[in-house]
Amino acid sequence: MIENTTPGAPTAHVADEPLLSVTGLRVTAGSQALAAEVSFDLDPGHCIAFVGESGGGKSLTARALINLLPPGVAASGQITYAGRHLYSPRPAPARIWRAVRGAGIAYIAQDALVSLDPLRTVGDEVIESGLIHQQAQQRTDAIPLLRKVAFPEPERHLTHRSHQLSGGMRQRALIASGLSANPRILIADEPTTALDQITQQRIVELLQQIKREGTALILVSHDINVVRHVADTVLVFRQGSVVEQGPTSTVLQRPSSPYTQALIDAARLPGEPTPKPVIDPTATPLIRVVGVTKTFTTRSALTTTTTTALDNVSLNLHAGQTLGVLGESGSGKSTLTRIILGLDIPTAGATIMGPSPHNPAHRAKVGWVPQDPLSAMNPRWPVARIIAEGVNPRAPRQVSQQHIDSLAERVGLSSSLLMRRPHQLSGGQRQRAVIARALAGNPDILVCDEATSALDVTVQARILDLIHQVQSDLGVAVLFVSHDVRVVRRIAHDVVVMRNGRVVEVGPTRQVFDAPTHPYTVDLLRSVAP
Amino acid sequence: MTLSARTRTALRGAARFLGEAGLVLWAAVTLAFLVLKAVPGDPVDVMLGPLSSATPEARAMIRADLGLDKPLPTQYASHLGRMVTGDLGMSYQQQRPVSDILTEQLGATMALAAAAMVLAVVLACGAALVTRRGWLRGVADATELLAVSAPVFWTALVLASVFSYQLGWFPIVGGTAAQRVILPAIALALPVAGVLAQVLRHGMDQAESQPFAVTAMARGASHRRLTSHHLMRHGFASTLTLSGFLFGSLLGGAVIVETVFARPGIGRVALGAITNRDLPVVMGVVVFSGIGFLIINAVVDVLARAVDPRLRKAADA
Repeated sequence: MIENTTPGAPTAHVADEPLLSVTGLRVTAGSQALAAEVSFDLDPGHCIAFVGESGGGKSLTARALINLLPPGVAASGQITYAGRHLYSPRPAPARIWRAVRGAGIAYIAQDALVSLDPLRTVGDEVIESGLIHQQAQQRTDAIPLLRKVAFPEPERHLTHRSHQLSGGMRQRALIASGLSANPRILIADEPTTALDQITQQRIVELLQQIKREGTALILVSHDINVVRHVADTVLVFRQGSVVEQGPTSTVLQRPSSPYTQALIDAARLPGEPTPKPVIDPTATPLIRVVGVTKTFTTRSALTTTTTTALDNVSLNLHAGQTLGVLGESGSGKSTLTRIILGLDIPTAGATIMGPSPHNPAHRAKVGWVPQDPLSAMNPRWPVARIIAEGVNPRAPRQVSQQHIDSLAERVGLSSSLLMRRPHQLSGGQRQRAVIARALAGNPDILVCDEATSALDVTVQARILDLIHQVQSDLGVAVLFVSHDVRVVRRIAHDVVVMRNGRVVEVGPTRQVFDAPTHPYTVDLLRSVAP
Repeated sequence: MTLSARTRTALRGAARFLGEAGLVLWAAVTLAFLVLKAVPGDPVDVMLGPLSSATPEARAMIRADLGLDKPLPTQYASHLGRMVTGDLGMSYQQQRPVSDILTEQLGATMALAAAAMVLAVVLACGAALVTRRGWLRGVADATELLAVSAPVFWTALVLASVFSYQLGWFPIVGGTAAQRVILPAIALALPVAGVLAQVLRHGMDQAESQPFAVTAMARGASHRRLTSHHLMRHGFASTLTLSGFLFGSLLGGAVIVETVFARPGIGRVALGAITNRDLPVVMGVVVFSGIGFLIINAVVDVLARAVDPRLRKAADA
């Protein structure tokens, strides 16, 4: 039956009608379908999760629900919210949407770090939706909202701006801003992705609390562990279609699609860390970090502040060993990486490079695998030239095609991709390309700085396998810096746990994970327990 | 303790600013001196005029009086030495102190520059805000491009011939001070307004493509609210940094506009001094505009930090 109603016109609201009803929602860009035939119902106090890898269509589906799609993308279908037709099948007029957005359906954008206006104060940002829908008057109305999301010291931060806040605080402020007009539905797009484990855990608890208070949640996430704890119903997206849909427990325990199974497997905490190679303790380590301290001094017009990024850090890295450096943002692991790479000079202490195992007359060589491969490659160069630059930085054009092909083959990068530019590659392919570049100089050590953080879980697993493979083939040592407990446990033989610039725990991965001694490590591990 | 540390840091900042300002002025003065000396011609000939029958002895005496017979480094050192003490010297042409000549003309130029700047900002804001969407945008883009590319002397001549000579609305001679400033200010403002509008609109477009703009819309904000509460400030932040450069174009434009409209002002004094090789006056103009630049840039720095608080940290780090 074709509904003969005007979009946006209220219909008689039946009590047992769901709060939000979506039928046959399609998101298209021109003739290309980005998400097809999405249908679900949502009741107050319930949570529905969209899971799947990036590009699966889950974020676009979420944005279609508030009719804020990127330019060139359109949606159609039947969507009814609280008896109002939002799509029928074309979207309702702008006037209707302005009333629904914020007060009816609130949306928390994907990247909390850039989703607050950097030029406006936290207080103004938090109450904006309340102001628009006449539920707040002044900046101080943000205080109870911020308190509700457990934002630390709301009074003090009211006039701060987002660049003065940590990632977790920005995420909380963003959630508070979503709640300021008392919406009945909250859409949270990847609310935990950019955060470290412990903060992630707290945001999950906050979402659970919001749900308990009767707000319906739509959670968009690639992280099965977050979904498991919050969602009642799961929709698994893959390449623009819903491959599986059902109650969370059923879908996660007895997945019917192999893709869902792969997502679940990738999120599991690996049972056994990689077997540790035999290391001769008397051999000279490839890298010795001895008592390294690094302080930064910031001068403003009024004050001089000294921050200690690293405080007396020591560690050794041996040939063939994978050493995980585990810590939250701000723990000093990036500064440590920069010092080991020679990009920063320690205030006190030293890093000493041992002799290369292949050529004892020379010092060990380091290859660098950056956190964000896209910004670490020249966007105007094809991948082949980027890899060639690693072989011979002075004359990349003289490197033989054969040499480049063999490096690409080693990292599983198809040679048909070598003439593409970095932006034409997928996230996993980019990561492979920078690993190939790092290997091009025949390094003895690979320094991987959050090398898998930006990747979806299934891609992440393949890159970790690749790093492991490279290590067994070439015998390189790996320094693996990460905030992700799961990843470190999976790949590292030994682990160094850092906090506030200090090493709080060090030991073989298995020992540290099975019997942590420092309370911080205990906390960190508890936050990821399934 | 903290107060003394604060004072010390503040003093250090002020000292650095003054040091940099001195360096900029020295470089400007030196460059002006070298350029003027490199151009062939004798200031004494210019002073006396082509019909003068002064004897070579008399000419040599004038030259010695002005110190022009001394080697270049000595001349340079004496100019610089006087400037350090704040003495801009006497004009070769008018035989009056340079500082008197310039302060007399300063008011007229400042009135013109201020009128032009206000006009440019009003035009640019209007254009950028009204024409961000739809077909108007194309029209505005084309008009602004025309305004930026048209040479000031051409715009000035067209304006003068239409509105002063043909229509007689804004007489070049006579009329009130306000009437006399309008046409020159428009001629001077048009290119500045064109650049400002383009940069302002670009800044707002950039801001609109950021995730926080989507977030604002998701809160139920209308396009109007998004513009007034979010995008405008971002637009201004990107525009402000350009203001120092725009001030420069105002000064350059003033030379032409003041000549076309026969207005008094620093620009005309500068033009006259350069053609007459009146070195002290040229140096005076350079010092005056240098100080003007420094003040404008200091003000812009302070304003930029007020508009974009992120700069406060970045600039100090």
